Amino acid sequence: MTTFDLADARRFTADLDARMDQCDNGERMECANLDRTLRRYAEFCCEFCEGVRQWGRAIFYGQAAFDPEVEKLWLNEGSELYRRASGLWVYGQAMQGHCFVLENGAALGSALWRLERLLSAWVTPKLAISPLARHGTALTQAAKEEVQKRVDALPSLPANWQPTDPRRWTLFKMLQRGGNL
Amino acid sequence: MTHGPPIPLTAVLIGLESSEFQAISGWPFADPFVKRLLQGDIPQRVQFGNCSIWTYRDPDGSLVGFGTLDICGECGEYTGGKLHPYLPLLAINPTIKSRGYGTSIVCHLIDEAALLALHGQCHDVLFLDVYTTSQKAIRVYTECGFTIVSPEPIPDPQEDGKPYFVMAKRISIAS
Repeated sequence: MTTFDLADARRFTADLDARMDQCDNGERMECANLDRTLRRYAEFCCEFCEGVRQWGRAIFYGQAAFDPEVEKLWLNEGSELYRRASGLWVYGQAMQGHCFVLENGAALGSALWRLERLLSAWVTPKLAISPLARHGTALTQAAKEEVQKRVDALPSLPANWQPTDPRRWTLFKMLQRGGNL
Repeated sequence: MTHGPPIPLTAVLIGLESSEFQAISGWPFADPFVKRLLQGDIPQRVQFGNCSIWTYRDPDGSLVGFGTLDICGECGEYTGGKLHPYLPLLAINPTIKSRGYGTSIVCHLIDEAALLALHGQCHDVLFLDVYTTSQKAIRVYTECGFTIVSPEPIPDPQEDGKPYFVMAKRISIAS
C-alpha cells in the first residue's frame, strides 16, 4: 500500500479476494492441496493484518487522513477473511490424520489467532497525541546535528550490567551467549 | 527527594482486552494528558505497532502502576533509520502513595529494551519525550540514566506550544 486512501485499500482487498477465490476453487480438492491451501490462507491473514497495521500507522503518524469508508472496507474484508479462513481451519482439523499430517494447520491457527485479536479489539486509527509521533523532532538542522552528537556520546550500560528482575537473568545470559529467544 | 533502592515490583505483560487495562484506564490521573495518551495512543501503538503494556504490583499484590514500551521509528533520523525502543507512557496509580515506584518501573522498561536490543530486534538507544513541566518525571528519568538530547525545549504546536524534551539512554552493554 502506498497512499492508504479508499482506492488503495480497494486495490488491496480486491487482490486478496481474487487470490482467495482462486485458492478455494482450484486447490481444495485433495489432502496434498489442502495443506497448501492452509498455508496460503495463513499468508492471506498475515498480509491482511500487515495491511491494516500499515494503514493505522500512516494515520497515527500523520502521513494519511482517516476515511471511515476505508475502515468499513477493512472491517468487511477482515470478517470475510476470518469466516473463510476459520472454516478452512475447521475442515483441516477434521481431515487431519485421514490422509496424512497437515503441517500448515498450526500456521493457519496462529494467523487466525492474530486476525481475531485485531478484529475483536478493533482500534479506529487517529492522529497521535504524543508530540514526537506527530511531528518528530521538529528542529533546525543545527539542532538536529546537536541531538545526533549527544546521542552518539551516550555511554553504554556498565559491563557488569544485568536486568533488575531476577526472572530475566536466564534469558539475559542466553542472549549474551548469542542464543535465540 | 531521594528514594531508597527500587521497590521490587512484579511486572506482568497485559493486552488491551484485559481487566487490568480496563482498571488502569479508569484511574483518576491528575494530568488529563495521561488519560488521553493511555486511551488514544497506546491502543494504536499496540494494534498497529510493536507496543507492549506492563502492569506492576507491589509485594502486597496491589496494582501500583503501568509502563509501555514500543519499538518504533520516531527518532529514526538519529538511529540510522533503524527502529528503536521508545517509552510512550508510564504512570503510577494516582490513588496510592508512591514509594519510588516510578524508578522501579523505568528500570524494568530499560531491562526489557536492553534485552530486545541484545537480541538485535532494535537499535541500542532508548528514547522518550517529556513535557518540560513534568519535573518529577524528568528527575526520575535522569536518576535512571536518561540524558536530555534535545538542545532546547521543542514547542508542541498542538498543545499551545507547550515545550517538551527528548531524552535518551544507551542500552547496549559496554564490552
